[in-house]
Amino acid sequence: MDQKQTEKKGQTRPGLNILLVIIISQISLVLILSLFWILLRNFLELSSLVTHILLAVAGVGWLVATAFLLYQRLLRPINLINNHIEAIGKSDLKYRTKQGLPGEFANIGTKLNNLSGRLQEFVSHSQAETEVIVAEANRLRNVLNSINDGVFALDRGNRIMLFNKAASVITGYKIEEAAGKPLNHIVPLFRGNQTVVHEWLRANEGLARAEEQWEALTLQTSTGKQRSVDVYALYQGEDPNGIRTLITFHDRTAAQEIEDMKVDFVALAAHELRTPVTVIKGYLEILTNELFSQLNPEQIEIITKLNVSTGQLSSFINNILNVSRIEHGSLNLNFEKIDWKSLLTDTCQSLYQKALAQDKRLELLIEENLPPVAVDANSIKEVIINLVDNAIKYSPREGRIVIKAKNKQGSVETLIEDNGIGIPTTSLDKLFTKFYRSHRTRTSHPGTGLGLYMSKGIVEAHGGTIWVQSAEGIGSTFGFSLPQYKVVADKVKTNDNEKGIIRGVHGWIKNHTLYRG
Amino acid sequence: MAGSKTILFIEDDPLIVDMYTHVLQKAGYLIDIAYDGLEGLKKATKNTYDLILLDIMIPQITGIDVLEKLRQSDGNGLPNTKIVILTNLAQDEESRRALEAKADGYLIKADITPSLLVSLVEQVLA
Repeated sequence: MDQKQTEKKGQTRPGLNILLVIIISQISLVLILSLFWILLRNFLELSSLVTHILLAVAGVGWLVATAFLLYQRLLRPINLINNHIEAIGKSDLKYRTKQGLPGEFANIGTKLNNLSGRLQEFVSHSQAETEVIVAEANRLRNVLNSINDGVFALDRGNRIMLFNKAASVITGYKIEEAAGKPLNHIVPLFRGNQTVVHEWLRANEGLARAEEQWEALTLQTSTGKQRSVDVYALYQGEDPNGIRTLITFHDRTAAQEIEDMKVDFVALAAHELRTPVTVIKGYLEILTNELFSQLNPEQIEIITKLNVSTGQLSSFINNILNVSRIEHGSLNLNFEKIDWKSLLTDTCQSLYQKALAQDKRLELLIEENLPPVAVDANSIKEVIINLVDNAIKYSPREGRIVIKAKNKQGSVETLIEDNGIGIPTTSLDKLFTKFYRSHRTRTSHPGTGLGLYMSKGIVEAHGGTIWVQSAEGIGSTFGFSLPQYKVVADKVKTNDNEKGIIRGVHGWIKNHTLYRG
Repeated sequence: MAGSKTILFIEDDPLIVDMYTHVLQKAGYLIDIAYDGLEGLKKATKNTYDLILLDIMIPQITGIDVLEKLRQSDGNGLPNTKIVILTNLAQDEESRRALEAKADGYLIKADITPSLLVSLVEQVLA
């Protein structure tokens, strides 16, 4: 509005100045004619009438001639040029001034035409460019939206910048609801009750690059439902587009449900197997105790073999149950303040015998004054048994297995060293995966490929880490760390030792300090 | 055996019952058996036992209910009888707390060999 008004104000009507010139020239014409009139009257002595007529004719002729000339040479071209400029003003870039304008105007007309042409070219070029950019953006958006996996882009404050269709479908949030808000406020991603992705994002501050993957995290949707997702995250400290972190996640809820059913079935089967195995084990023990003195060496060997096999079956069932609990997220660990030295010593009692039976030696080197740890005795016992069992299994005859425990900052580190066959470098990174069994040992040593997978799950559920170092032909060292009790004391709900409950590795009984499983 | 301590074993699996009874009797205990929760409750209130070994997954009423009834403070309970749970169920946090308040012990069958049970029973009744 404002602009239009100022335009009108500043506009001079075309031809006004020209009219002024015409008027001045006409006035000068009248003066010349008057002079001519005096001359005609005084020197040619023409009659007054004839003089008047001649003058009138000359005057009218003059007027017509100048008016025509002015119009043709000045007013019309100015008007045409004006039209052209107005057309440009109205974004009509196709407008052209006709050729053949008189004199100087021809030049102006041509220049105006050129200008219009150039403008037209420029505009159509930039329009084409814009179309390309828009088309590209649409293509990318379509690609992003056609992916079944959710994609988030986060800015430096871990706020959501971009959110594709799948992300919207899986989380139940619209992009408008999510944009600009911190990821953790909109879609927190949990493992147990820890917001692992959030913790990871916070730890990335100041790093140049980081990437991480998580399996089976829990994502809470807008309606409060839980979905199971696999997450991949890439953090880049410097991104010119302002994107700091890209998170993609795959909804595995449906697959997880099928998996859960399988796990449920396996857990049920394993659970049902426990009682008969308990009975077999129990009667074997009774039989051994009561008949041992009457048995001949061959029979003793049979009994020993029965014992070994039952032991394997029993630990296999325990492993299956533990794995199913880990995968179900229902490990239900009861963390307690535990004296690591006595738990380690107790657990190794039965393993001593096993090692001795195979002509192998088991040694315990436990640092004095180890701080107490916060563990679930039953599950961590399974870890010790699995690792030591492996060490015995893969050691040569007369081999030596050393179990070390030492105080590390904030944690207690346990190492199980053997001088066995060792593990090829190529197998090391797959060692802790489910059902992994090295090709070399698959046929020579019985096993399920669950032990290390389970151990990893249990140790990690304790907030610890597990690792392996190995050299082929020299031996292997498996290690795991567990948090010291004082570090996680606030997370351990009860301290049973103060309530007079003594826990052993097989359960608990009250008020009896002698009990050690 | 005069002066022998008495144990009520509430457990529905006869194989388990026979196995543990075998060693406990050898160790000199008098064993009474109940194969379901109701029978167990009836026997526990009618006779006097030094110890009750109690399974959780049993017919009629569960071991948890039996424990509740036997630990009632209205005069019908048996405050002086030791009760030890002997089961295959791993406990969750909640039931663990409930059990710890009322039971004298909690043992996982799969981990308890007959000789271990005898030594644990000795400790509880010491």
